[in-house]
Amino acid sequence: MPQLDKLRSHLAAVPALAYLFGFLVSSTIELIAGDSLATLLGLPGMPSLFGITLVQRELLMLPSVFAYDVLIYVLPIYVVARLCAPFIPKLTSRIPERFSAPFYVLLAFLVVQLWGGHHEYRSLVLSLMGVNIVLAASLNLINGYMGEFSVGHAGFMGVGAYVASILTVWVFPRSLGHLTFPLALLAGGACAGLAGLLVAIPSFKIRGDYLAIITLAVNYIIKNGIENIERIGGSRGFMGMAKLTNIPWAFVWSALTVWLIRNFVLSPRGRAVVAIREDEIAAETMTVNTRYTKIVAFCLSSFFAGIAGGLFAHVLLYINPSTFSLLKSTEVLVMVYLGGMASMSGSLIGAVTFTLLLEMLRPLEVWKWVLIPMLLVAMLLRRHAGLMGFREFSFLSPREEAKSYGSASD
Amino acid sequence: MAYFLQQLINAIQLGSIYALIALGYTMVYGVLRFINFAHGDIFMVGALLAYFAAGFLLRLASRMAIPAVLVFMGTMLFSMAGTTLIALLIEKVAYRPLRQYRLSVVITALGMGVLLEHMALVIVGPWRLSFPALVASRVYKVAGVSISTIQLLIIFVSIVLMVILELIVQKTKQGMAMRAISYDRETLPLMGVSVNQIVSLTFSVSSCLAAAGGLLYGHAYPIVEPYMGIMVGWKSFISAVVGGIGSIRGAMLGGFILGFVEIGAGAVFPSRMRDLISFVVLMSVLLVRPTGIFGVARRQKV
Amino acid sequence: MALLQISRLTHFFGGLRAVHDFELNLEEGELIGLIGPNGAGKTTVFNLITGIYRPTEGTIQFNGHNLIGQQPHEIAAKGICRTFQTIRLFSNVSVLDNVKIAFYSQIRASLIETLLRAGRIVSEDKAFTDEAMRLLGIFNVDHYAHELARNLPYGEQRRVEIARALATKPRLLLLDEPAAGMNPGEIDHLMDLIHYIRDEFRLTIFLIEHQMRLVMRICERIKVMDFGATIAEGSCDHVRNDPKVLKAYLGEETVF
Repeated sequence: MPQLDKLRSHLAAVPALAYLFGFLVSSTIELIAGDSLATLLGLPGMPSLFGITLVQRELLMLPSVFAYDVLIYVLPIYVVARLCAPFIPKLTSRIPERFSAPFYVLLAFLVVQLWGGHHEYRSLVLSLMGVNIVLAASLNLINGYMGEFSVGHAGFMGVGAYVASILTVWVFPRSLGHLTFPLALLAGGACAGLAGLLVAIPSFKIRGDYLAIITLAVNYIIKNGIENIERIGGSRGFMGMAKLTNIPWAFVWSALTVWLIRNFVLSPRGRAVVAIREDEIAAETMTVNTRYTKIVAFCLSSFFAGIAGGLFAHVLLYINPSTFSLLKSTEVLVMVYLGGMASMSGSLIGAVTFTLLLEMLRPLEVWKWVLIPMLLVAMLLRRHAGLMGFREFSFLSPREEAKSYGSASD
Repeated sequence: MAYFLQQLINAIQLGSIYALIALGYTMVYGVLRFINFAHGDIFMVGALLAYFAAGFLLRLASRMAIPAVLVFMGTMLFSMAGTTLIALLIEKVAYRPLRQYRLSVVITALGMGVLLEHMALVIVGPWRLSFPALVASRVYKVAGVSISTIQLLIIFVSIVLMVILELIVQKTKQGMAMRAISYDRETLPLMGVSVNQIVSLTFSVSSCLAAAGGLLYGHAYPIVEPYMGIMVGWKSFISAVVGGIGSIRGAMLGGFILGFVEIGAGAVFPSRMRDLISFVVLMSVLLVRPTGIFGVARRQKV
Repeated sequence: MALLQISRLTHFFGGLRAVHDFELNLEEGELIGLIGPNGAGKTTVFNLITGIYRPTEGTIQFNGHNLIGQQPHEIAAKGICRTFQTIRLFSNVSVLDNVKIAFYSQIRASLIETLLRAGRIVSEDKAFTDEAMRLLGIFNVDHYAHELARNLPYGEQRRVEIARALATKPRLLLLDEPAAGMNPGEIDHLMDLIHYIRDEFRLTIFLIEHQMRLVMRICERIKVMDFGATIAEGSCDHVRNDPKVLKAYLGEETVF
């Protein structure tokens, strides 16, 4: 469609940084005037997620919601972006290369915190988004980059969730909450990483569909194992966690995960992971220690899943084994494949989109899970490896080859 | 001794149902090298359709004096037909276009499974239904062992279906084509065989078996609900793999092995550990013999 | 001491004897060929040397080290590398990365450094890139560096495969049908290339080939296999006139 393309190129002409500034201004406006505007338009309150949920419950609200969105989001973002656009190149040229990425990350954080920090529900959604980003990025390492089919990611998430929760509730003094939180998370991640060996070692001899079963069995064994430990609540679950996960923590951990995994897959060791996907025997013959590489990949992946689990436990404040079942693993799989295989950008998009969809489509209840698979299939039919399959946004591509990496054929 | 025989019968009953569903997995895998993760939910659809058919036909039967056998067969045929239609639709719309991209089609299958579960929830509402008995339930006591007519029915019907399947696969042209595809998919079209047709046929047969499995399961465990396909599906899938995925004999054997393991584990260990034990046992088999019992190790030419 | 010493090498695939009592003494710097009809067991010998299969019987010594029981990547790190009969490049990876992957055994940076993209990994990555580009340049495929391997023409893919093998800094290079699918002009180029890399990289080369034009012109010594057994061995002239060789290839005694 030519109009769509025209619109797309018109919007793309403005650098992303400008839109970030626009969002910054927009969130500030919302903070100051949002409530008043909402009341003026006849809305029950500031719409949590752009009013999508509101509209589903009461269609008559559509004009008001539309007006709100235009006045608070669309107009300010667009106007500010266009105003900033000419100054951006001068600004970016004054930032030394080394600080470029941290600058963007900091700005993104400011935007997110400004938009969601004052709003309890938005904080929840953003925290969950962070969790999902960690999950999707870590699973993509195995399913996308290494080309395996792991369907048991939720099991490792569960290990991390339980270990971290047990530590913060029973072991660490409550008063030190935020100080000990990273330790608890890391401990959870470490245990999950160890659990990753349960899959890594069979993977030496077993590949493909058969390994998928092993991952499934491990997921189930972990879940069932937890159910059978009465001391930590068994199937009744575990609670008592303090709400330690907030936007800053979720943001930090998701950014860290994406950055670390990106560094890994672009490095010589990471390329070995991709080599295993393409041709394991050829890789072995080219000096790649496939066993070691597999261990690193699986344990790294499950480590981050454990971190995600810990974050998850401290935002929902209640966990039970059935949370970490195949359905959860399937959710993560959808995020990875929807967003794009072997792509950190894909995992970002997949996780963000999926989390938003899940929340925004809440009023649809059961229909949610009818629509989401259809959406997934529709996406896969267009792009069989997912939206950003095998490609990256320029800020995540390796520096030297930022231009040509975007040309990977599908 | 009697206790042992009793459990044996129970194991055979459970095993036959698992075998029927495992056959579905194995046939699709044999032909397409693809694990249809939605198969467990196809089984659930079969059970659901059987429920409706049974309800309708029973009401008809009470007014028109139709023998129970016909009611049963009518239910089975209806369920098979409906399930097959749905499976073929999914195959045509979602699987066929993505057939060349292995990883994508597998995730699609998972998605389709979720879709089926929730579609059932949407259409029927939250349901947990009591399956009507189509066969008068009588219990016979033989040598201290009680066997019910339902158990006999399940075992009998399963065996009949498996025999029919063997005949189709070994004796018919289409069956030969199915076997041929599993050996070499590229050459077959050159021999004038339409791969799409054989694939559709395979899906049909596999869905019919799943539907029958659903019907029989409804008789054995009269509560049917939307998520019933998940556990049964995964277990049958694992049986198929243990037996050697792609091998029909393997699926049958695997199903029965799982039935025995599960009943055996249930007899020895507390019931909440039953599933866990089954999973562990099966995983161990895989570790020892990664391609399953009858599985053909696909030797890669280096 | 010979660089590669193989003695009584025998391998069974189930009941099928693929290789029978294979013997070899390869001196450093030699360029020898292995020929024989299809199915004679030639590639199996390569697979046994590189550790992909573990031989049923026999010994393989490389530079005094016993190779039997070693993992393929360990053998490769010791200095034996190979190309494959069917090209086995990493298809969905760029040509440059294909070669860079082969530097794996030369990575010294730790996992932490890798994750943080700090320390040695940055300089090693750069060194690998430079060296890989240099190798690609020798084979005149450096302009394809960022292209996906599967998009390259066949002949170019073969050359990338050899470049990749050289990245492992081998002392012994096993080439499995390097001239497959080439026309006579390309084969001449290949001959020059093989001589060049043998001298430039101080390699010992052991190659399997069907193209007699190549084998007879560059190999110093030839072994002939048929049905797993060695049926002839010696210089080109000796082998080309050996009646057993002619029979194996052509089924009857013929003037070559």
